[in-house]
Amino acid sequence: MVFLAPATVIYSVFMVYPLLDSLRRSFFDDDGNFAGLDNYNTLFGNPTFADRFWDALGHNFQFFAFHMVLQNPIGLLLAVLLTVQSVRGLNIYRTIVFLPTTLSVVIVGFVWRLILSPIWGVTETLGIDTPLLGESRTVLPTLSLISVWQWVGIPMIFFYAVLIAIPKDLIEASRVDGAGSWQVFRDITFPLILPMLGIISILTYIGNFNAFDLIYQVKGVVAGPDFASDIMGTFFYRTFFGASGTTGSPAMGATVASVMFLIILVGVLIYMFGWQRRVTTYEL
Amino acid sequence: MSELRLSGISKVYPNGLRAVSDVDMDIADGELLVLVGPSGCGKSTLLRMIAGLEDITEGVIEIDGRVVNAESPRERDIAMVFQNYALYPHMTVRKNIGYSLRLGRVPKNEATQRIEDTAAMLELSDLLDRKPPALSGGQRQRVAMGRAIVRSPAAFLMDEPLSNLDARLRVQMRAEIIRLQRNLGTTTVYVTHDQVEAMTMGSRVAVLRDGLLQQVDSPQVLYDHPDNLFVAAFIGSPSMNLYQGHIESTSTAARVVFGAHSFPLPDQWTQRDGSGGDDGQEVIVGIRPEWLVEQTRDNTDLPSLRVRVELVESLGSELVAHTTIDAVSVESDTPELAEGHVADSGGGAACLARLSPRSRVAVGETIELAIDHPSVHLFDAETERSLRPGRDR
Repeated sequence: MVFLAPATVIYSVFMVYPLLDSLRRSFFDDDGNFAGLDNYNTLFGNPTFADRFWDALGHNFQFFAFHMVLQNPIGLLLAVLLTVQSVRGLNIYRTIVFLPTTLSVVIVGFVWRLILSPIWGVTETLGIDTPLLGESRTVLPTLSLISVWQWVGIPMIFFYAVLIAIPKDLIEASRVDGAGSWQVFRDITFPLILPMLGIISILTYIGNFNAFDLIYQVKGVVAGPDFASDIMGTFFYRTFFGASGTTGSPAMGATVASVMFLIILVGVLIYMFGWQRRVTTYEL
Repeated sequence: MSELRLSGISKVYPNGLRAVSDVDMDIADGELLVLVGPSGCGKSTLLRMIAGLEDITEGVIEIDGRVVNAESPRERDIAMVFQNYALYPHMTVRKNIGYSLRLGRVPKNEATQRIEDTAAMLELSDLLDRKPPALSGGQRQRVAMGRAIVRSPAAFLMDEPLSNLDARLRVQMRAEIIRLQRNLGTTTVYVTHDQVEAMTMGSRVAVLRDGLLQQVDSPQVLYDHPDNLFVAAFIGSPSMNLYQGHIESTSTAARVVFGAHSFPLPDQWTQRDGSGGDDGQEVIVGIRPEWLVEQTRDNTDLPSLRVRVELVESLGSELVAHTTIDAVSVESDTPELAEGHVADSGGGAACLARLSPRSRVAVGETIELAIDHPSVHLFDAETERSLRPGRDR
């Protein structure tokens, strides 16, 4: 107890209390009067809020889909490649792939803005005539890809850690049993890294629905053009602090934050009860 | 059902380490050949080369006359049992055993039948739907065997399959493997570092040291006629007592002298032409502990050794006396030997003797041990090769 106390206190004061207080505030108006579900009615009923909310939520799911479809499979592929013993300089590759993860989002955003700039960027050389960050159609996929590029090192390292823990014996036994490389992966390696796939997926989900910084850095609070890159994080920011002429509303901000919390909570519950209980982790 | 032929097999790792050097071996159809040697002698590497898990640097491996050097493990049709069993933890026993059949696209009915037959043979029928983590060590070992048996492969390769079991289970499984191998008649190469296992299991035993094949023969021949000092020291438990000595030969008689002791050079040596009887030749004298007996009225004709008893181990069926003798012992580099020998103390060398359980030797006593000298082995001190009478090499 004594040893747990400091951590518990710090965690409570800085994590649990703000969370609960934020939830509480979503039931009060900006003057501190109890408002029941009024804020939620406004959020889902008033088109100024509702349209933006559903837009942002949709964009956020797209953002998440990009990470699930690209970042995690690529991370896995890179991890598998890193376990190939015969390649020289594996450590160098590992470092290179992991490097963007260590950079500040501000730098990453800035660098990519330069790279993709229609004025001096590479787009013209590559024969792309659309400003990728400037058009509603392309801005969200482009930002997703930048984020994937930056964070792909995380799933890679996670998968790598699990892959190298799989005893060589198992792989050799399956090869002697007659399995080719693909069958070894499908029948032996993949089932054994499945628990890690779940962990990475839920971390991606939590990270993506809390995402804010890259879009804020590249496109600002209004997440343009025409809110095409707006996700929950930027929507929350505008609602709480206000932006471009509108004043913010702490009460409405708290309401948006509470909904975000619920979305993430649902995801975590699905992971815990729908996945974690069915997928067994084997001691190797 | 196959015969294996290894010709001039060597393994050199990229870092220059030579794990296996120029091994020639024929393994007959249905034979159980044991590869034995201390850790790091290259026996596992050799086995893995046969399995196709390790590239062959030099030489040729043939299965039934077919060169398999370039073939993948899949194509070689060889089953392997691993030291840690290497069971797939996420598959049930049924799937573990049947995995190779699934990969080989064996029809489902046939596969089920074969899995169940194998399980019955190994008394695993009740465990088919369990997963490996829920099995005991012995059960896991049997599943690993089942995985090999179900394929009816050209050969079994076993890499120390019993070393993770406790002593009692090990003896039991040892008998089990011998029985299965006889019934199935599948050519088997069995790797172990345990010379007792090697002696009890192999129809032939190949002794390996530093990647070099020392001797391949039946267990009895290895014991009776070791080709060199290493094999002599490695085979037998407790291992052979080895002392530096030389031959003193005159026109009438020749004696083997070591330390303060000597015995007449047995007839078979003196009659031999050449090196055996040369005066002053440096030799290593090898005396198995079982060739030493207490001197009694019945064996006064045998030469005797005077030893001082340091420790007596009573094993019920026999009594192992750790004694010191006035001689210089030869340190062989086998770990087994290092274990058995007490470090030289007080100007004496260690000497182990297996005596009758009724013997009354007591610690601290100085006793006379009779030595069955015609059995004694002599090795050339330089080459460490056996100076073997009658069997020229």
